[in-house]
Amino acid sequence: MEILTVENLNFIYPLCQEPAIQEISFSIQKGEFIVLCGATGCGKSTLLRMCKPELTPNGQKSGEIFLNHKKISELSPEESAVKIGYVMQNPEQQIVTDKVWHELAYGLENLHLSQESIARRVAEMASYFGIGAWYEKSTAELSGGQKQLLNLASVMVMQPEILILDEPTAQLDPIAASDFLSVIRKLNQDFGLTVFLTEHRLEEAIPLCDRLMIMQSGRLLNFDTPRKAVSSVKDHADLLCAMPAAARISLNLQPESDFCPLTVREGKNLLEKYMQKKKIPDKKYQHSEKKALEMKEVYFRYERHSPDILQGVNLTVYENEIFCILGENGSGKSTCLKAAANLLKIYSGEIKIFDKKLKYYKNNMLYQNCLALLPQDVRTVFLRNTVRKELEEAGTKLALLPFDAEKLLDHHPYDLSGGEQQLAALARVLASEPKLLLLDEPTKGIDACSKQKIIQVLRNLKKSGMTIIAVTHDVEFAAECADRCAMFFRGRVMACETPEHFFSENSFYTTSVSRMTRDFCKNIVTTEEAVRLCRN
Amino acid sequence: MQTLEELHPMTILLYFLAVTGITMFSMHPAVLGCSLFGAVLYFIVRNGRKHFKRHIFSGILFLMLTLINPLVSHNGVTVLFVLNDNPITLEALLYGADSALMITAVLYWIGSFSQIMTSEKILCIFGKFSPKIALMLSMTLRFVPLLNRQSKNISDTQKALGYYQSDNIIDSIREKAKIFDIVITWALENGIITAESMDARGANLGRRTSFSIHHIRKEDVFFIIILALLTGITVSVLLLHMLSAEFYPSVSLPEYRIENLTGILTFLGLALMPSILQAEVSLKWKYLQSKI
Repeated sequence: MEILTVENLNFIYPLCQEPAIQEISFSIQKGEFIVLCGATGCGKSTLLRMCKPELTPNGQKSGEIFLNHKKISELSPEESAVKIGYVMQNPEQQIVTDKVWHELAYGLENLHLSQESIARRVAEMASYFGIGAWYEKSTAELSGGQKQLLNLASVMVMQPEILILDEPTAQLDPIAASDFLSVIRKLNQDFGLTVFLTEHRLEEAIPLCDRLMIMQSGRLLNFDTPRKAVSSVKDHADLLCAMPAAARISLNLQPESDFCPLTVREGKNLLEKYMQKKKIPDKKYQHSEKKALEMKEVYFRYERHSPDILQGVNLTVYENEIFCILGENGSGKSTCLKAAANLLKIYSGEIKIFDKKLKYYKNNMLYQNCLALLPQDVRTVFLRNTVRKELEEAGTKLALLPFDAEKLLDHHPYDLSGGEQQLAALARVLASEPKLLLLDEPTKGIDACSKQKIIQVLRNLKKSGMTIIAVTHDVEFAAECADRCAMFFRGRVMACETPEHFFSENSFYTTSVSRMTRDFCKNIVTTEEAVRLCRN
Repeated sequence: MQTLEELHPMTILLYFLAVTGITMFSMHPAVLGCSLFGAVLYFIVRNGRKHFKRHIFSGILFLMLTLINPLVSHNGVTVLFVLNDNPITLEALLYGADSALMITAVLYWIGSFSQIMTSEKILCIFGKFSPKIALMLSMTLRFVPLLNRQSKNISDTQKALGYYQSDNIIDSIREKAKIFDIVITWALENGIITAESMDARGANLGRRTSFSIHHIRKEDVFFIIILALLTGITVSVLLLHMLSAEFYPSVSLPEYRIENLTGILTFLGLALMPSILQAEVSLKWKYLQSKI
């Protein structure tokens, strides 16, 4: 039975010429798990928002949406609040109240239920989601993953019939993201809850879904079982780059095949044929002799009685390399970056930037033509209401940028997409002409296509002689652009090698390509390498 | 059995209203002494050796209030000595000491009250009267620290981008003002998403419940009955003017009779209630542990 039906839907935002949604029709069966994908700006979010009456944007609309064969515009406010659950991207901004228990109860308070039934439903949901341990905490104390789980739980207490999620894991680290997706999967299986989800992290989401919906510039490109839908994007480079690694390799090697592998296991079976007795020569990596950053036995803690965050960090980064630091949440990666940028004062050890101790950089000399730090939340970089003003004030030379910033200039920085924000912030940071660039999670919340663009930009910067240190959770990103990688664990550097060695030694913290190919041939970490080797 | 802070927020509020109310309306030194004794004892029982500075500060405040009154007020019949042609009187000194007792006692009660009454307990009380105000308070309590954190983040980022260039005060004020400006933009942007999230969960459905995790239990009822009894007796003695005190022109306290002695004793009981509860709970635990 259909739960959600969309018929000939069109939508144009006010003051826009191009329609955001064109002639979309589909229907979703009860209990289905649907993943919606497409490049940034293709109208995914608009489509999801139109399925939730409270969030429907203003503009010209034609066509109809039905929930259980009833027009959603005719649902009573209560029905629409209860039956359609909606979880948004940013974990922080969706939270309304200051305590976890109050957040869980919030929706039920709005429904004017009695104290007893609220208490009961909240208790039940808290135990199902394992929230009991932090039930009485402040919402501000929670980690990103916990916040998003709380957002999901506080929608689930209202007992929705369909759950709509707009990129819920974009702001989470890979472990939290994969936990979150498995909770969604569990809800779908345990209760037969209908799920309608958009995602950047298709590697994990696609194998979970029943049907995959692909959108391109406002139109529905394909809506079919994941294998068929994925096969259909082989001619669309911007969509293909987001697909699971196994599918990308298969579509490159055998574009006519009718079976498209989606998981690591299926990819392995495919590669077995191609990779017998192949070998690649060990690449030698030669780094410069000059040191850009040197940390010796660095210790740091936030307060006198708190535990050490950095516990004897030894790290050397040479000039003109791209260096990636990986590691779990709270292992001290970002703290290490802040210490290197002199934003935190270490209590023991020594940090040298270009062979000069940090304390000899007087009067902000460190931040002029020397070092720049791009933080995790790039929105904190902007102080002006257009990108143009921002860059003019900072003195960025637009002609010298390694990418075209022209398109971004006349927008408010907050209106840009994640990838565009990152580029605009990078342009702002490059104004001081740094020789050492520190990046904190440059690919967080960014779709695959923009990620490729950022990798290209970083490579160009490296060519112009810059040293780049990036802290990241994104193994695919590190595998593609790093010269060397380091693993951070409990405030120390545990391993520091070239990506080929680094990822082929790791068995969990590694790319899915490495997992697919390691039985046949070591040292392969990216899809390009795998495809090239198979073709030889 | 529960300590005072584990009881229902309403019970806690009633207790502190009663004890500070009586302290503020009675000038009788015995009543004020009992109040200060109870307040300090409870504060120490809860905090142990911490907050040492607070005790020092209270001591200094007490002395200053006592000594300033005779310098300002020259009423009273017993002149101790003459300073700059102004008589310093014993009555003014005693009156100063008496009001100092009252102020320090009230400050100690308020100190314990603000430690016990966490934001959610205040919310619970507001929720009884107006669920909307309770929600607004809860959102504010979340939002203010969020705003602080964001402006700290922005300031840190700007520092690493070489934004603060000079040590000139006017320039740095200008730089701070810009940061304030963008924090407001950020807050509005944030607010829109929060509002959408509220809307999506039925914020506009009309009447709402105010959910609370506190329940009234039999301990609360028991506590309130004793509280009412002790407060009732003390207040009726107070209303009979048996616990009043006159300082000018000369010190006169009402004669000690059975009525005002009862009043003082019941108030002493009232002031000691939280400390007694605390002691009882820890004794009970020791006893239970010895049985295990």
